[in-house]
Amino acid sequence: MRMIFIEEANQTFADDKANRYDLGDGPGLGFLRSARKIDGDTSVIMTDQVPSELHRSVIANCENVICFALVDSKDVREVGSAAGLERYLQRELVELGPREVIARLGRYKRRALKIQVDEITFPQPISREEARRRSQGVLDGIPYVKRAPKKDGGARVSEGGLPPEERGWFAAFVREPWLLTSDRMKASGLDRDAHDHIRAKFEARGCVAFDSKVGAKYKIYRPTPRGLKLGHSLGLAAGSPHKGSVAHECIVAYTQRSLDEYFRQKRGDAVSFARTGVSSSMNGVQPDSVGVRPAGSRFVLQACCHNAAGYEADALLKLHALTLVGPGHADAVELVLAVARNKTHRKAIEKAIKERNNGIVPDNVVVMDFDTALKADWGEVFAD
Amino acid sequence: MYPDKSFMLAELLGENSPEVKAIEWAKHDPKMRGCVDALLAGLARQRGINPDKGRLPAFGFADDLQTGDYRLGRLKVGDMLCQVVGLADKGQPPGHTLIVGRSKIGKTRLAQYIAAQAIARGVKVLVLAKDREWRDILSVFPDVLYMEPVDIGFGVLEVPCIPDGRPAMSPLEWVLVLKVVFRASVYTRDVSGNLLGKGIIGLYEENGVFDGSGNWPCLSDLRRRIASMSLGSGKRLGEARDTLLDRLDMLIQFLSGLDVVKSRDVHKLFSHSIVLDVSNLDEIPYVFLFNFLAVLLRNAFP
Repeated sequence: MRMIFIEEANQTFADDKANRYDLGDGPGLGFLRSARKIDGDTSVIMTDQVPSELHRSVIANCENVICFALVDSKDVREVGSAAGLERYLQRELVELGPREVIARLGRYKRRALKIQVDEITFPQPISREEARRRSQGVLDGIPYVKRAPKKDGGARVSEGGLPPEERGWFAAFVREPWLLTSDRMKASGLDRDAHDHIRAKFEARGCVAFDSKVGAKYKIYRPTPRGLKLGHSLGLAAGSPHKGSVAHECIVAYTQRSLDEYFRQKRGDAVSFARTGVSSSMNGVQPDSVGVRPAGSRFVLQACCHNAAGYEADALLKLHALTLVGPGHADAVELVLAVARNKTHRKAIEKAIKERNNGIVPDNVVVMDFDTALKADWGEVFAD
Repeated sequence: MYPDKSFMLAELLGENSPEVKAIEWAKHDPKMRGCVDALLAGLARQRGINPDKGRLPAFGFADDLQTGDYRLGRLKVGDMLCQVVGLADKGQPPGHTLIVGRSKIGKTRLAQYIAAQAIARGVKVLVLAKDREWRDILSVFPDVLYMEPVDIGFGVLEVPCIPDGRPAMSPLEWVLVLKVVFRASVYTRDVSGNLLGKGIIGLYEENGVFDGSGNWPCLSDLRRRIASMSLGSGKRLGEARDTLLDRLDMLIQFLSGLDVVKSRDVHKLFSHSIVLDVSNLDEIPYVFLFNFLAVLLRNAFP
């Protein structure tokens, strides 16, 4: 449970696009919008003296609006309507006395209230030096995790956090992307922490279900209406609604399943699939899925499916490319299979992979769009 | 909306008040019917309610404050102070709240009042304080941590960790997050992609972050890399790079005084209520700091 107090909110959440700094409409606003919905127990208390310059969504996201006396007529109009005051009562905002406020509080939905706020005083003013002295002991008790020596004439150089041997499963998959496959994780004893963490995170949101059909250890459903439709059309179960897209998971799961079916029926051997990451926030530099055949050959699968557009999409596709042809794959992969959401993305990722070709034989890279992947004749793809 | 003025008056004065009974009686007496409006207006004035436009909505009435609510003050009707009112709690912090008003009128005091009640009931509070008045809260709650930005000690290129030391995000996601934090400074239509994203990814590769063999770089390294990137020709391209370099300079200056780039333990730090004195920060570093903290809080406390 946390409360964040922000003063001069118009500096943080400005609405004036002409004067807004590039940084103004950043994650802070998203934090404000989602702090109650996603985090659930964080509330933001803002103070401001120029409410007409606030971003529109700030007032819209505030359950409570408390107005002291205002001077500017634009502010009066803005706040008056936000507080639910009828126009003829808005002039009250100008005439309010000391400690008088007009407030629209979430719990009293019907009308604005006129309130005389309590008078509070603190026993004594505290100087900056005194405040620092009081807090220094606590700050000293929270030392920096690691101190790094200065290098290059004072340039600050990171030690890179915890040493590799202490980084646990994360370091393992950064060094060796295959390690997150379920079998290897089990064998190396790395699975428990990672899986517990991931499962707890997603189970709390009702997004995890075991699905033996798709060959994935855990299936994460993040259905949007569009994703749900797609999921149902593919015969995949869908869990409780959650912000995000199920399309990506569907593509991965369906491609895995169809590959598995192909190898079982046509080649008589099974493919062991590992859905290498289940959460984008824990995914890191690794492909979506890794397939291993009994003969030992492996292939990686990346579903390049996201809602980003423009430059964001460009950056993401390059990251996908990096993931696919990262240094760990070059000598071990039989096939790199990328399934893009549409032809535009497919072309973009082909280009990105070419730019980043890291020792992978171009013939071993297959990029196809989703429609093609659904109907693919894997015999052609895996022709010996 | 109330059906008529006398209903409103009944709520204001109580159904059994003599005034309401008199009005009800007057409404049903043909001889007095014409006087009802005048009676209502007189009573409204007497009670300090604005009777403009023939309606009496004025201000609302509140239920009594309940245990656990955040107290604000007393309801005011005319000159009368009525029951205590406040923000609802029901076991959770109140919803987002906006306090507005002209300068020196008590906004900060009211915010402090809410903060004090929150701290008293064990809620962790983070104050981005631009007013020195916030320090006074330490006189009541000595456990509150007073800090300046430099005390936070988060290396901007570091990946925040969850309690057991594992990163809260992968380096790639951190790249994307930083891209968002820097926002439009990294988007230049002349570049296919973005400067900051390219710079950070290149730097992470160069330092071996992606394969786990190297160290996470620092801001100075990033500045050097972006300054040395070949971008081709183009006026806007150069301007975009200059803007980004200016911003990096500003951040390096903002974080000066730190001879380390490894973060403090995020969880230990934010397990305290904190007054973060940002009164000396210019607008851009302040917004950056806020956005950075927003990202950190979202990701370090999954």
